Amino acid sequence: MSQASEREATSGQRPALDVSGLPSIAFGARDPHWWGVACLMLIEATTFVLLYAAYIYIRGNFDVFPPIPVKWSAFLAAAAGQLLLLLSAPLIYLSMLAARKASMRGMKRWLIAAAVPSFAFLAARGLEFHMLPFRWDYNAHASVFWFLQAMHGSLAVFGASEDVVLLAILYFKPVEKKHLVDVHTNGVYWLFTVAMGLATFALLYLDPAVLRTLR
Amino acid sequence: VTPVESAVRVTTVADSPTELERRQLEETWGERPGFWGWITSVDHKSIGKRFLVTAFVFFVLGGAEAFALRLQLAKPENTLVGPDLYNQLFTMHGTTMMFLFAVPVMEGMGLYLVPLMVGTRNVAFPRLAAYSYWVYMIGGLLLYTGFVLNVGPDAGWFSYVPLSGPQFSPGKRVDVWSQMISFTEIASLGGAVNLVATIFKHRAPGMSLDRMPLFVWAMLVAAFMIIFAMPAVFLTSFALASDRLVSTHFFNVAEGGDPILYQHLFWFFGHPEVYIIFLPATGMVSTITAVFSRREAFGYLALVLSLVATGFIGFGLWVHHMFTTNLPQLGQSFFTAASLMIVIPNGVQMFCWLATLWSGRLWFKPPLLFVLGFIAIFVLGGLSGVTLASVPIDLQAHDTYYVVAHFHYVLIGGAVFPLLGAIHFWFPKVTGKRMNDRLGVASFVVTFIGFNLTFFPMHLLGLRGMPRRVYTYLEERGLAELNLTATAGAAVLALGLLCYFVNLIWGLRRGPPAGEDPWGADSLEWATASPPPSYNFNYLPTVRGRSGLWTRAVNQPVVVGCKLDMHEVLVTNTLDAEPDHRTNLPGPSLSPLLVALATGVTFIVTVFTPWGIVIGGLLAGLGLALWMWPHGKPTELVVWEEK
Repeated sequence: MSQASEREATSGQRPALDVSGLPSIAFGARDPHWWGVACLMLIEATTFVLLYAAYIYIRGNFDVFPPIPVKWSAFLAAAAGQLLLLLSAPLIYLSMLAARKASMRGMKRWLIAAAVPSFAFLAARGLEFHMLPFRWDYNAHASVFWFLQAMHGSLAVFGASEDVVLLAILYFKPVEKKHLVDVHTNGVYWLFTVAMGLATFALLYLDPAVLRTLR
Repeated sequence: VTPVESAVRVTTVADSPTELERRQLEETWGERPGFWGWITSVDHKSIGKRFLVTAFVFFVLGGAEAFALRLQLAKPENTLVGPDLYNQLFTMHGTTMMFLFAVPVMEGMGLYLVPLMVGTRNVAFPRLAAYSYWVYMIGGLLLYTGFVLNVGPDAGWFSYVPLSGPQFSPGKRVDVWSQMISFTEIASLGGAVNLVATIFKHRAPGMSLDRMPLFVWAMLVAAFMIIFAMPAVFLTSFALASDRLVSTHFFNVAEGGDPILYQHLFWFFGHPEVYIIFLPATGMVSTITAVFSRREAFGYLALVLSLVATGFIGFGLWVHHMFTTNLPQLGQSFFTAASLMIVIPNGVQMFCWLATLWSGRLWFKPPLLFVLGFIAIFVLGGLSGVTLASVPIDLQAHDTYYVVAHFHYVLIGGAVFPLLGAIHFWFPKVTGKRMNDRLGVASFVVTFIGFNLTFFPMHLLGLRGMPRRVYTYLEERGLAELNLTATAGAAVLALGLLCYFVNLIWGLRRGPPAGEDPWGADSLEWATASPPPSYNFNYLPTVRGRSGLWTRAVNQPVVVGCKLDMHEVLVTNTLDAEPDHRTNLPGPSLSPLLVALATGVTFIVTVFTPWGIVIGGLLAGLGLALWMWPHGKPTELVVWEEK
C-alpha cells in the first residue's frame, strides 16, 4: 500500500472515481436501451427465420407450388409497400442523426417525413391482404403466408405508432435528454422492420415459382 | 486519454456516506408504502423475491400433482385417479414445473442477484422486470383457474398435434395451455433482455468480462438461450391456437400442414429449455464450490467457455427427441453426434468443480452438500442421457419410464439440488437471517434418499416396458413392486422438501442475524448489508479481480457523482467495464401492471374469440403509450442548439 493510501485508510477517507462529469446519455451500443432494442430485434429476427424455415418446410408438401397462384394486384400492392418502406429508411435515419445532434427541428421534420410512408405502407399491406386470392384458412401455404405478413404488419404498426407518440412528446412535453435516445432507438427498430419486410417480400413474392405463376 | 476517461476525476470521499446522503438515497430508491407501493414497485429485489415465492408456490402445486400421479400408480389397476384427471394431472405437472417453476425461479434468482453481483442499484429496465412478473403471474393464474374449472390441459406438457388439434381435442383445454405458454414466454423474454442489458452495461468499473462472477456468466448465456429459443415455442403455441381458433392449417396434413413441423418447432425450444434451466444452476454450483472450498473456482476460463459452448451446442440436438419419427439416417447420425458432443463441455465443467473441491479446504455446510448431491445425481442423469442419444436404444426406450427417470435425474439433480443449495446459501443475504444448518443437513439427506428411491426404480420400470402417460397397468406386467417403491420414495422426497420449507420458515421467523457476509464469500452482493438497502450499495463499488471481495484492496475505490435525488446509475462499457456515462432509471409506476393486464385481456379473450387480439392489442398500445409518456418532474432538459 502506498503512503497516500495508508493515510486515506486511517483517516476515514477512501479513493473515489467521481463520474459526475460523464455525459448523461449515449447513443448506439454505449446505451443500455440500444441493447434492449437489439435483444428485441434478435427475438423477432429469430421468429422470422423460424417462420421462413416453416414456410420452406411446408412447401415440400405441395406437388404444385404455390397451391393457389398469387395475383398481380397483390404482388403490386406488396411491391409498393416495399418501396414505401425503402423510402422511409433514409428519412428515419435522418431523424436519428438529428437526435444525435440534439436538433429539435430536425427530429420533428424527419419523424413526420418518415411517419408518412410508414403509415402509407400499412395501407399498402391492408390492400395486399385484400388482393390476395387466398385467406389464411385455405391451406397451410396460405396460413404461413398470412402469418408472416401479419406479423411483419404488427411490427410496422408498433413502429409507426411509436413515431406518433414520440412526435407528441416532442410537440407537447418538455423534451428531456433521454428522449433523444428514444428517437434514436426508434430509428434503429424501424430500420430493422424495413429489413425484415424486404426479406419476407423476397421469400414470399420473388421466388421464381411464385413469379412464374403470377396472374 | 479518451474524452470519457478525462471526464472521470479521482478524488477522496468519506468511508461511508453521511446520514443525510443515506436518507436521500432511501427516499429516491425506496418503495412507496402500502398496497400502492406494492403494485408500482420496480425494485429488482422485490420483483426477484416475488418471482421466487410465486415459483415455489407453483413448485408445491406441481409436486402435489406428481404425488397424486404416484399414488395412482402405487398399485396395479388402481382407481384413485381416473384416466381423464390423470391426463390433466401429468400435463399440469409438466407444464407447471417447466414453465411456471423452473424457468421463472432461475430468472427470479437472476433478477435478484445479478444487479448486486455486478455492483449496480437496479436492473437496466426496471419496469420491464415488473411487467415480466405480472405477466407470469397472470399466466399461472390462467392455467390453474382452468384446472379448477375442469378446463385443465390434458395433452401433455408439449401438446403434440394431432392429439392437441381441433379434431382430437375439442373444448378449451388446449387453448388454455397454448395461451399460458404465451404469457410465460413473454415473461421469460422480458427477464432475459433485462439481464443481458444489465450485465453488459451496468457492471462495476473494473469488472471486465473476464472478471465476471461465474453465476453472472451463466445467467448471461441462459438469457441469450432464452432469446433464441423462446420464439420457437411462441410460434408453436400461436400456430396451434390459430389452427384451433381461426382454422389455419399449419399442422393439418389434409391441407399441406405437417405435425412433424410442430415437433421440430417445439423441440427447437424444448431442448435448449433444459439448458436454460440447467446453466443458471451451474453458475450456482460454481459459486458454492468456490466459497465452500475456500478458493477461487478452478479453471475459470474453461468454465466460461463450457457455458458458452453448451449454449451453442444446445441448439443442435433437438431432433434427438424425435428419433421415433421418420427421420433420414443422416439426420439421426448428426443429432446423435451432437447429443454426444454436449457431454464434452459439461464434462469439462464437472472436472473443474471436482478440481476445485479436491484442491480446496472443504466446509461441509448444507449448500455444499446439495452441490455434492447434484454432482452424484447429475452424472447419473448425464450417463442415461448418453444412452438415449443412441438411436437404437432410444427407439426401444422412447416414451417409457426410462426417459422419465433420465430427465428427472437431469432436471431435479441438475437444477433443483443446486437451487436448494443456492437458496440456503443466499438466504442470509435476502433476509438478513440464517437458516438452520442441522435442519439443512437433515433436509438434504432425506431429499437425496427420497429422490433416488423415487426415480432410480423408474429406469428399471422403463426397461421392463412401462409406458409413460398411462394411468394404470396390469398386475401380470410385474411392475407393482418397483412402482410401490417409487411411490414410497416420493413420500420420502416430499418429507425432505417439507423439512427444507420448515427450515425456510424457521429461518425467517427465528433465524439468527446473518451479518454482511456469513460465509466469507467473494462476490459483490456480500459487500452490502443483509438484506440490502433499497439502493443496494452505499457507494457504487469497483473491483480489481475475479473474486471481488477476496481481491479487494484496503482502499478499493468507490464510485461517486451519480445524482442522489434521481435514479441515476453508472453505465460502463461492454468489454472492460470502464465508466462511460450516467443514466437515469425509471422509478415506480403502474404502467407495467396495466400493460400486463392488457396482455392478459389479449390472450385470455383470444381463447374465446379472435377479436381478443384486436381488443387487447388496442389496450396494450394505449398502455405502452402511457408507459412511454413522460411523468413527473423532467430530469435533464435538452438545450436546443437552434433558435
